[in-house]
Order: sequence, then C-alpha cells, then structure tokens
Amino acid sequence: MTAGSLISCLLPVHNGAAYLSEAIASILAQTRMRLEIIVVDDGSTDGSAEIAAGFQNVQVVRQSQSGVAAARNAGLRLARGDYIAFLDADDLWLGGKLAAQLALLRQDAAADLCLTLVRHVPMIPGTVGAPLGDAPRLGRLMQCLLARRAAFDRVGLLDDRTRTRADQDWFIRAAEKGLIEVVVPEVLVLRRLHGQNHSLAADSRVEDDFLTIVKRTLDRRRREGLSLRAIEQWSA
Amino acid sequence: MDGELVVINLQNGRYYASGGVGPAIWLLLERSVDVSDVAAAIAARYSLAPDVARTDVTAFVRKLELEALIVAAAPPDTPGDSSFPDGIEGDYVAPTLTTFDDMEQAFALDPPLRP
Repeated sequence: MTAGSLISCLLPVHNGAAYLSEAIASILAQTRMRLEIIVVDDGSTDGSAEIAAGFQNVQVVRQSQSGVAAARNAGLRLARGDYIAFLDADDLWLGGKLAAQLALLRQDAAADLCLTLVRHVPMIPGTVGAPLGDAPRLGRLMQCLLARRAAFDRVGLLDDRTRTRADQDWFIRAAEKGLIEVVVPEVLVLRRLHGQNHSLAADSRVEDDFLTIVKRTLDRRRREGLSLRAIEQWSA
Repeated sequence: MDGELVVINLQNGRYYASGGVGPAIWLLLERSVDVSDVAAAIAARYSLAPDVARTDVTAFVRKLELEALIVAAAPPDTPGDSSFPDGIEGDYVAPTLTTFDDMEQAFALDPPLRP
C-alpha cells in the first residue's frame, strides 16, 4: 500500500513537550502508509517545536499562539494529501489506525469521513476526565478522524472564533452538508488525560464556547432554511 | 445573544432557545428577582394587565423548572434589581421555549456531560 494515496497527518501543539515525542512516534509507527507529517507549533515556549524538528520526515511550522483550531487550519492549508488525519500532542494513535480507516474509506466510495473508537487514559489517577470513564467510546473528534481531502473542501476549515469546541462545530456542519461517516469499531486512539487538557477544562469559558456554537448553528440553519430539528415548541 | 436566550442542560445535552419576553424574564431571574416582581416589571414595561403578565411569567418559570434549567431558591437578603433589562427592544410577545436534542452526540465527549 506504500505506493498508494498520501495521508497528511496534522499535529497542532501548544506546550506539549511532555507528550509530543510519543505522539509523533505513534504516527511514525503507522506502517505501510505514505505519510506527510506536519507539526504546527502554536506559540509553544517549552521547546515543543525543537522536539518535533528532531524527527526525520516531520515538517514543523510555527505560528504565534492562535489556538488549536487555527493551528489545525494552518496544517490544512499546507497539506498535500488525498486524505487528512489529525493528532493532538497529548494523544496517541494505536498501530494500524490509519490502515484500518483507509481500508474502510477505499471499500466505501460514498463515505467521506472515517472515525474510530477512543479510550480515555488518566495519567494521574482521579484527575479531570474521570467522569469519562475508560470504556471505549465513539470518537467524534479530530484525532479519531480520517477524512477525504474533499470533505474539507465541502465543509470548509475549522471555525477558529472559539477557543475550544471547534471540532464539534465542524462535525455538526459536516452532518448538515450530508457527509457520510463510517466507523472502525475498534479503539485506535488513546486520549491521555493529565489535568491540563485544553478542551476538557470544565470552566465557564468552555461552556460559553458551547453556547456560542449552539447559537451560531441555530442562526445558520435559519439563514439557510434548514430544519431546526426542534423536539418541542412551547409558548406561554 | 441577539435577543435570543440559549441555554444548555449539561446533564443531558439538550439545548433550548427562548424568544419573546423569555430572555428578559431569564435576566431578571438571574438577578434573583422574585417571580411576582418579575411579573410586575414585565407588566410595567409593556403596559400589560397584571394578570396577563403573571400568567405568562409563571407559566415560563414552571416550564424552566420542568426542564431542570432553574431551581427555586429562598429569596436573597437583599432583593435583586427588578428594573427591566437593558437592550431588549420590541413589543410584547409571550415567552417561548424551543427544545432541541440533536447535538447530544456533539456534546457527549468533549467535555463530558455532567452525570
């Protein structure tokens, strides 16, 4: 399969030095794939960019800190692959992740996106994320996605106006455009929870980002004449 | 946001949009204004019969309680500011609440819904 399609693996990082090497190694361990690896350093001050630059066949680009969505978009603009995958600096792909997804997308020409299951691994017992448990879950997350390049042409880039939640916003927009999702029913991504994960902080800013995305989704559906999909309309 | 109130229930992933006078009522409740004072503020602002305002406000508050978006609390020591909230325009429209559940999956993982 080495001579096959090119997969762009985009890895945004902001101060991820503690976990980054293992994340990159988990990409390099995806065997028999034609890979392009782009690490987008989002204004790290802990030497993350230097760690990434120490790997062969890894392209490193730097930007001043603009957030994970902007960093993923920077990677997307550079990506030359027929397929796009993402990984976060603190997460890991398991062996065969890309191969299983690529096989599924090749088998089903109508499918646009391929997801996998994800398991959450607490690095410090009892820290944030404990409510997630360690049961396998469907990972509707960028680090679990292998997408045809055309999916991003249809849905567009990530919306970087919120600090968090831009991947959920993208998946909502993808569903509205009718993109078809298939799933490899295996845990192929580990999310390492270490108490500092940007997106899992249950602070009011994260909740505000949720509200912003909900409001934006409602407004977009009204503007485009899409169904709002209400389950109840109540009036006094 | 733009005259619309958006609320998410982090326990079950449902989300809600409220229009009409709903956002004004919510803002007053947030200031810990008593329900009867909320109704009085609404009646005064829109020159409504007190009964009409009370009926609509009470029905809306019950609906919010039913959806577990608010819980009744003891009155605060100092009553909240019951002046009508700034930035709300237009004629009186009874409060509305529209319920959605189609983003539960999007919200389920990141961060987790609160069990």
